[in-house]
This record gives sequence, structure tokens and C-alpha cells, in this order.
Amino acid sequence: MYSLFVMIKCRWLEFRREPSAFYYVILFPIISIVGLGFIFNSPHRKPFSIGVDSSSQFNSSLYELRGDEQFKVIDGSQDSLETDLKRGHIQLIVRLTDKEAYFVYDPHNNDAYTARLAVSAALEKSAGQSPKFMPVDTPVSAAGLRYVDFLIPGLLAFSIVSTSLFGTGQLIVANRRDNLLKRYFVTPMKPLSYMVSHIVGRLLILAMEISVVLISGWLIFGFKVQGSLLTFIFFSVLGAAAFTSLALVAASRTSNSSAYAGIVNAIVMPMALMGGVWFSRSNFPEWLVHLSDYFPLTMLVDSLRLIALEGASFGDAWAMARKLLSMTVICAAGASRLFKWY
Amino acid sequence: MTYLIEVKNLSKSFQSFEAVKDLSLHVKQGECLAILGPNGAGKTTTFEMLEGLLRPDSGEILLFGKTWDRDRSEILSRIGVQLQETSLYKRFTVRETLELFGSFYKQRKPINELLELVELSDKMDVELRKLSGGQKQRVYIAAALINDPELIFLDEPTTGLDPLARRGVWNIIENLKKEGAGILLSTHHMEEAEHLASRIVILDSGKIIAQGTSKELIEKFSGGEKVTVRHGTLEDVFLNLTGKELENV
Repeated sequence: MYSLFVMIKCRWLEFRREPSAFYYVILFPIISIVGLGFIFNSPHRKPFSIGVDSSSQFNSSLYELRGDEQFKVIDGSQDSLETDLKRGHIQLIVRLTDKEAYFVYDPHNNDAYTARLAVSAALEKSAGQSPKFMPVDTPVSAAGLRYVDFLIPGLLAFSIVSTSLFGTGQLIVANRRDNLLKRYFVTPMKPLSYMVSHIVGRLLILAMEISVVLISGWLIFGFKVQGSLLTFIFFSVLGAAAFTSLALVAASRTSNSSAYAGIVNAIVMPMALMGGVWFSRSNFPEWLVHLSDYFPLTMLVDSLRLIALEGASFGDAWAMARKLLSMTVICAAGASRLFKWY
Repeated sequence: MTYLIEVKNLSKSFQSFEAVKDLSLHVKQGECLAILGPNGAGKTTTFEMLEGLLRPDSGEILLFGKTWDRDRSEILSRIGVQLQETSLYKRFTVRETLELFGSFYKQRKPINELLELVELSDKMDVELRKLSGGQKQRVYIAAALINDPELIFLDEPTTGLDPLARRGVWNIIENLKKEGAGILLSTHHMEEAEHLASRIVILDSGKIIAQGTSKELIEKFSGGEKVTVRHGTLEDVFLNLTGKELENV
């Protein structure tokens, strides 16, 4: 027990004293959140951005808006407008039919609601020449519709994956290369304790990752997890377990750091690019969406987003939890069979 | 009496390469046995088999009269190992490194005492990356001594060290001998074997080609006419036995 405690302490020290590890876990997420968050989501934006469904023939009724500095009108197809809405480029979608005005927006977003009222008023004004429109509200289900809301769970998932694979895995490979695993092997150290120390050490780092991402997201952008925070943390832990297991497999035999980095890049980069870390997968071709459904990173990103943005409960995300759990068990079993101490 | 190490007819091949052939040796308490030989002679293979890291193809290994298969954890708690070319985590301090290794054992020597022995008391809180090669090597030796072992394996402990640092390591080994530990030392410096070892085994191409005290070996094998112990060296012994120079192989 004492030994396990000392080893866990060592895992922590290894992390804290490695400048690059520190950078990846603390600075990288904050820089990403701040950078990407502000670029896509300027807090000083004054005019309301309104998307107008250009397929409607009744758009002339909106001429009032187009002259007004308070509004920035974007014409587009319904699909592209929905994407814009998800990314926070616009706050409201307006689609006019002969009798109705459909408003798609997030009712929890004050700006969006104000925009909705302003557009209604403008339509009233123009009612003289055009048919009178009946307003129909279509509230969208996700509470956080800003890009930064979308981004934060994605970044956390990415951070979990890269810390597991590049952090834990790389450390094991380096330990093997330096004959340190061999050296441990000629002491009465319990191999299981070594593994456990990596897992617990990983959880300590995860605690930091979650805190960094959630606290900086909250302080800078008022990001909030809509669902239960506990479920959100549970899935983060599960993701860390799954990817740490994967790291143990990937690092089970090689003592060559650059070969390992190659393997890991080949695993992580496609998953990160196609798994929807930075952008919604809905813009991808259909086959790619289906393919990326099977990436473990996608499962982690999607479940974290479901919980954070749509307030999904544990039950809603259970299917993905089961997959991540199976991955953990399979990889851990594989690692324990394959693991080479020297 | 039970030997600390008793090895009979040990052999090990890697594919068609015979690394160790029919090797037998023993080490008593308080004795320092040096295995002397050029690179590739089979020193490290022998060490790794004795340390339980490699399984021999044939032969018997008894440590404290026990076998690796049956008494692994007992053996591990009674030996101390310094491997060739290990590097410990460079951002740990000396104290943290020794605490980590100490944590693996039930019985451990106080770190202060250990650092006094390896003359690093003033470096206790210095990170390993800030130490010189010789100082680092002394930390590795200290890590091998943390459990106050009865038997110590030192695999080329002075390779790559400058003469002064080598002397420092020698002092440590001499002190260990005084404390009564058994030591198995490998080296390719004959001067080192001559200086430290109670007995010497000369290994070449996986086989023992000569053994005895340095005095015996020099008397027997240094060749040349009228060579006296004082003038002959193990270098001569080795040259005579193998036709090769020891250090530059």
C-alpha cells in the first residue's frame, strides 16, 4: 500500500515536472477555448444576426430589417442556416410561408429572444403591403448553442485522449527505453501496483483537465453543463479509462518513442479530425459520419456533448458508456497479455 | 555452507548465437567476484540470467540456495541490482528516487545513511538531471542498496566514468565488501577487477577461459619470461589467453 502511494506520488511528480505535459493539460485547453471561443463568438457583437430562409418567396416583407444597423441578415438554405445557428453565427432563423412566420431559436438565449421580438415587430410594420404572418416559435432543444458551448466538451474529450496516449503511453515507452521497467522488475514491486499507479495518476491529471476546461469555460464564457455534472464527470473518467487502456496496449511492447508517437498520431489524428472535436460532424459526407460513429473518440465527444449541451441523463448516454466500458476492458486485457517489461 | 550464488552448467543461446556456454561459478558471503571480459563476452547475459530476467536454456541457478521459479519474491527482497544503462527519471531528486525504490521493500536502509555511503549527502534534494555521470551512477548504486541486500549485482558500474568518478565507485564497493555483502561485478577494466575482486572469472565468447585470484591468474597466464606478479597485469593475462586486447575490443 505504501509502495502504491509512493508510486502514485511519482506519477504526479512526473506530470508536474514535465513542462510539455503541463502545457498540454493546462495551457493548451485554455488557449484553445479562449482563441477559438473569441474568434467564433465575439462577446462584443452588437447587431443581431438573423438567418433568412432564401427559399421563401415572401422575404420582401423583411426589407425593414435589411436597412437596419441592428440586424445583420444572412440568406441561406435551411440546412446551412441550421449549421450557422449551431455555431453561433446567427441567433435566429426566420422562414416565411404565406400565412406563418417560423422562428427557430434558443428561447434561453436572451439575444435570440430579443431578435425574435424585433423581427416580429418589423413584420407587423410591413403588414400593410403583405399578408399578415402568424408567428410560430420553434425552440431548439440544445440549451448552449454558441460555438464555444459546442467546443468545450470536444476539447475536453480531445485533451483526455491526448493526455492518455501521449502522456501515460509515452511515459511507459520512455521507461522501457531507459531500462527502468527492467530495473523495477528486479525489485519486489508488484506489476499490478505499477499499472494501478498509472491509472490513478491519470485520474489525478484528469481532475485537473476537467477543472481547467470547466472553470475557464465558465469564467470566460459562462459555459455550463446542462445535464448532471456528476454524469459529465463519470463519462470523462470513463473516457480517460478507455484511452489509458488503449495507451497501455499501444505502449505494451515498443521501446522506441518515435515509433510510438507515429502509432499514436495515426490513431489520434484521424479520430480528432473526423470525430467532430472542433466542428460538427453534420457537415461531413454521410459515409464519413457513419464511419466516424465507430471511433471511440466520437463516442466520448458525443456523450460529453449530449450531457453538456442537451442535458442528457445517464440513461440517455448509457449506450455509449457501454461501448467505452467494453473498450476499457478489452484493451486492459490485451495490455496485460502483451505488456513487456524489458 | 550455502553459497550466495551457485551456478552450474549454465547455457543460453539467441537463435544460433551461443551467448553463454556451460558456465559454472559461485560467490560466497563477503566475497567480490569479478567477471572480466570484452564487450559481447556474455557478461550481461550471465547477469540477466542470475537476476531472473532471462531464462537459461539449460543449467541451474541457486541464489541463497533457492531458485527463481520457486522463491522469486524472497530472492528479490534479498538482492540489490544495478543494471547497465538504466536511466532513472531525470526530474526526480535523489531523495525521491530512493524513496520510490525503498517503497518496494519491507526492510530498507535510511536514506541518510545510504547517501553517506555513496558520498552524496549534499545532493539529497538535487534533481538527477543536474548531477554528473559519476554522481548519477552513485545514485543508481544507492538504489541497489536501499534494501540492505545480502547480494549485490553491479553490471559494469564504472563504464563511461572518468578516472576520478571511477575511484569514487571503487570506494563504495570496498566499503560494501567490509560490510560483508556478496558482490558480483562485471567489468572490462582489468585494473578494476584487480583492485576490487576477491576472485576473477575471465569470460570470452560465452565461456570461462580462466579463473582465480588476480595473483594466481597473473602468475599462471601472464606469459612472458620471468614475469613477476608486480610487473604482470591482467591485461597480459587476457592478451595471452585470447590474443585480443581487452579494452579496445
